[in-house]
Amino acid sequence: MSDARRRWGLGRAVIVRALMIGAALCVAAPMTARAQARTQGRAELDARIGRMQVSIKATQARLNAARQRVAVRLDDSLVSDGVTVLFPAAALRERDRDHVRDGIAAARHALDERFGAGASSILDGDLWSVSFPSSTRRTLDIGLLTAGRDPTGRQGVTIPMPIESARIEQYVLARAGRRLTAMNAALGVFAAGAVSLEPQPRAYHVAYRQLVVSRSSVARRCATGVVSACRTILDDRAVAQWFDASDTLARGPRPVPRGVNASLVVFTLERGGAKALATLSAPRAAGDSLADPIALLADAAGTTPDQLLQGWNATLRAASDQSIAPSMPLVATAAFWSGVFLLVSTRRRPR
Amino acid sequence: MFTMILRTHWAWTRLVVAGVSLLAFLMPAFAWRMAGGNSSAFGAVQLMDGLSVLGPLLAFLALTGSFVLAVYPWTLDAETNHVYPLTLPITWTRYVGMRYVAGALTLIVPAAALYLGSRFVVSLVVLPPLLQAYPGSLAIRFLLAMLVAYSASFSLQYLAGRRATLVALVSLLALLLVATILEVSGLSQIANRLGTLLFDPRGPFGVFTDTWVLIDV
Repeated sequence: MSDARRRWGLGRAVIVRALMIGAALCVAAPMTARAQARTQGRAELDARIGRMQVSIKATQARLNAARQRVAVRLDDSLVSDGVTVLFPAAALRERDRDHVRDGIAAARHALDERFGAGASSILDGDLWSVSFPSSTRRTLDIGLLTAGRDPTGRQGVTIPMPIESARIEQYVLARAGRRLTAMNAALGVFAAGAVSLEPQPRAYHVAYRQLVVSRSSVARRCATGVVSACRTILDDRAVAQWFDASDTLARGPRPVPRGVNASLVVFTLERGGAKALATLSAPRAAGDSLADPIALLADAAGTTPDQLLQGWNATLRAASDQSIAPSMPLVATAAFWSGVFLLVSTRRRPR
Repeated sequence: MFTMILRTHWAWTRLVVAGVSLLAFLMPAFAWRMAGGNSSAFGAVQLMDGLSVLGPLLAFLALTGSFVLAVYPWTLDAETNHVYPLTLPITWTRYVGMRYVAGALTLIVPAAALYLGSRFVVSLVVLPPLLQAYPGSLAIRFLLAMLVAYSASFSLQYLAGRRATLVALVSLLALLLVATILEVSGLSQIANRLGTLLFDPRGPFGVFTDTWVLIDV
């Protein structure tokens, strides 16, 4: 057999082996996909939001049905850092309770650290419950976190059991955002349900991308830094001006999702700190002149609406620039693991 | 000595490198065609969504291509029971190191081909305003992914020898089986934690879960 033919035979065998491993990896891809979804955050899922919403609605319907079947007895409670948590005594072990306390404490610390001392007071008086939707086979492996005393008939967040403090921290931070919008009617309409005080490194990048890819040329002008366009696109009262006559692509109900508005709220809090949080959560009289949400946010941040929008716009663009280039830690991590693999490969010498 | 090993390595693997490079060059064009090409009613969202298939395709190519590039030279050495490297006046560790570096250097070729292929596609695309192309970032990510996959395959091959493929397949199947059992028995968080350890940004395969985009804001 010639050398070339022998090599081709060996090469073909190696390629077949590679394809076998590739096929096995394809089967294992769901695990990778889950990890990818966690790591990349929401950015890559933007386009799939419509399909996901349908799926979420179906899941919620199943969950609601499961909730109706369970007899909920929230007969125990704990109070930690001003937050009250109700739960069924028999179902929550001491370790779970410790993790709930740790999660609340971590969330308070995160809020104070990010927005300044006193920011965590937004959580004072909060009350939520942990319950367990029953299913035919598995019980107590999924917990349901629900705002208020009554876990039935409300939207909740499911978490795997046993409880991890990181999940509780996540939930408490997301609730802090919802509490803020619930306390202020103008803000509630402006960014309904979209504000989360959980750190989201890619949130500004996502908001900028949504402006750039919007069907509305007004939104795209906002992305270029035109403050008046930003004001129009964020203002629910300017619906008639959201689209230009030149916008030929199909027009939807909103040119940008509420998440873009929410990014302005978070930017305001980052700029104004605990003072801004206190201003926004303070009760206001009906017919207040600050019912304009952008004026309200500017007031909370201690600046003018135009300056606030300029700063927000610059932050969005800066976040976008940082997000694409491969980071140094990524390069260093790849180099490190490659070095580890090389070191391991020298350990066995053929005889 | 290293030049000689590099030359041998190149002679053995140049066809594989050429094949992987050709695929890497063509993949952006393939993804662009799948996204609809320069369709008239084309929005920025459709373009970005269509090109999102490029990430998984490139990750698959990085895994399988690197595996072949790592395993093939070892297979040729193993044909002669590694007599040639063992007779060289250098330690086995040094030989493996040089073999590794020689293979790693060839990975630059497919990455460069991907860069050129991406530039070519970008030159054909009518980019909506404010969207930008990132062929360089994509090529660097591909290079890093290939490097990690090459290192893992290289390590597996040099440790497990002739049983490397079997070990890889059995490990993957065992991982899947364990993940499924954990999922069914309600311990999905352990499976999730395992996945996070492997694909976390600080984990060995974190580069595969990083953002692979050709066109973005």
